[in-house]
Amino acid sequence: MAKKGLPTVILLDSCTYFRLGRSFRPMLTRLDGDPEYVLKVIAELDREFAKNPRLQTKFWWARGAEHAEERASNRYTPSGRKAKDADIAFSFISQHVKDEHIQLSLVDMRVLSAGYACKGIVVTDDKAMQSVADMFGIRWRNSLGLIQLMYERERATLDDIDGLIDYWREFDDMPTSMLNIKKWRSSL
Amino acid sequence: MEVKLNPNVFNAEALQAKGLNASAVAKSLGVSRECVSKWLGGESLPKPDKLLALGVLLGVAYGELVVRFGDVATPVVNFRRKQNRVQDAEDEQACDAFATFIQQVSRYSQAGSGLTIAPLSNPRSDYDYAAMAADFFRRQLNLPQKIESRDLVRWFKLFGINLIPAFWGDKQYYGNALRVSLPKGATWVVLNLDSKVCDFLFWMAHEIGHSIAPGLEGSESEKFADNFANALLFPPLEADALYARLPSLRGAAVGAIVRKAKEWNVSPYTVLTALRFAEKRHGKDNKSSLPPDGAVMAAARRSADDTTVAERVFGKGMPSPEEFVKQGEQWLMTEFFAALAAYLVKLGLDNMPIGSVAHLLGLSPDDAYGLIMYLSKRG
Repeated sequence: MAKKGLPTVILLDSCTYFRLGRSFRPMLTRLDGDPEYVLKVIAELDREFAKNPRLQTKFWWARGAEHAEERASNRYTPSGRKAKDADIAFSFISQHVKDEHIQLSLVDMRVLSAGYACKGIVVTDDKAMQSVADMFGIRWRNSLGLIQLMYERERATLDDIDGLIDYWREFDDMPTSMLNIKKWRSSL
Repeated sequence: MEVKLNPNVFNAEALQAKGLNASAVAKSLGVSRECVSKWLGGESLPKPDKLLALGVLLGVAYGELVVRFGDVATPVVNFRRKQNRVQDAEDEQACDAFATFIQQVSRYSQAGSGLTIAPLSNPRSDYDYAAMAADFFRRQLNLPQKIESRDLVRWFKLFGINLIPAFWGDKQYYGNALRVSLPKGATWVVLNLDSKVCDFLFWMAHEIGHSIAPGLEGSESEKFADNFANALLFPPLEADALYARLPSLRGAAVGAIVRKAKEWNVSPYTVLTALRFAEKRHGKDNKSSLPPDGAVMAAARRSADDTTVAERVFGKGMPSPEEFVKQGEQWLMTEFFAALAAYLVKLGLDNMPIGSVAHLLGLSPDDAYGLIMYLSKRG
């Protein structure tokens, strides 16, 4: 019998985490099946959250102990060779972003670098991030793709998805990714 | 601009030293051996994904693997972390990202078309010199003794320096302001609206100090800007008058300093600093009549007005995009939002720079999205 490999890391970018993190519990979890996945965030997400008071106000729930602990224990921190690869990847990605006048924040570039180093999948709805990921051969999914995967792997129920849509209805502007999720939900 | 693989890092000997050769590189990267030979001969450059893979294979960062000739000048970013904390690599990367974004937006702005600043020739950083410069500055622009934010905003506008309002919080890592000087001469200053009112005024004056004394660098530049701001907002004559009263005030000196600070829209620390310079002018270094720093700062904390600029302008809570833009344009006279709106049109709705806007302005991604949608509709 073949030895089972390590699960593939799925890294959520900041927007994805803050949009979905309240509706799915646990959010950062293992998705059993073949292949096996594990959902994680990078440490810079918490640093960004700590630095940005508006983020803390809008996503107040993320300050709660339950969510903070979930992030802390499901943080992707590359070590050894992978840490070096992530730093190298960051140097190439940030230069490309600068040269091509692409609008990515520091945290966005860090997620992509970590995704490259761990040969994982980055979840993002940001078109610029998606195009940079394509340029450097980094695998990505959008948030709808992640929710569909979680649903298939029985980590998200229809109630969870309805809760997510209701949560986003509270805000006046529903991002395109949320509209796609709503459309998919109504097709089920 | 010309870009080449660094022949000192990528050559047959260097590969051999790492136990590699052209065939091994080709196999590892999934390209032909001929392709690698062309890279080695400097005839072609790998595509971004292969270039990164080569960097990882060799264990070298972009700056080591690639040499660039005739690079375009990059923006210069200046900021000071709160409480003089040392800048780290993360700060620099974050500021690089700010500068790149501002540079893009600035192409759609008229900023930089103001009057030319006449810089001070051979400036010094000491208080007496900075106070003289502040006095000249006040007279030249016919500014009142007691300066308010609108006086300074007018100066920024007059000299084509564009202000960008941001919500960076009260424990921010980039401090109260950040200045981006673009290669073509335009300067943008990001101001933290989450600063206390008195700090905000001080940092605006501080930034003006930097602008009029570009000849100073590093800590000397910071010292001049601090002294200039101090003397501009709390003139030496006022400091002298208060200093003269101190002996008679005795135990009431601390209260008098705090009241004076409120009267002049500055922090008690600014008044105390000005009093120290007044004491030096009066040659009483050895026998101070100033109250202890700790007593002043404790009193300042007790009576502190912790109202932030954002709270004063917008009240509690996050303003709507419309209100944010309106206040930014009316009060800070910024062209940033108009430039950003024009830039958004160019990018199209499929390429909204949500992350960059959120990061620069200190907004949540959804507030950034709301702002972008508002500006896109407004045009």
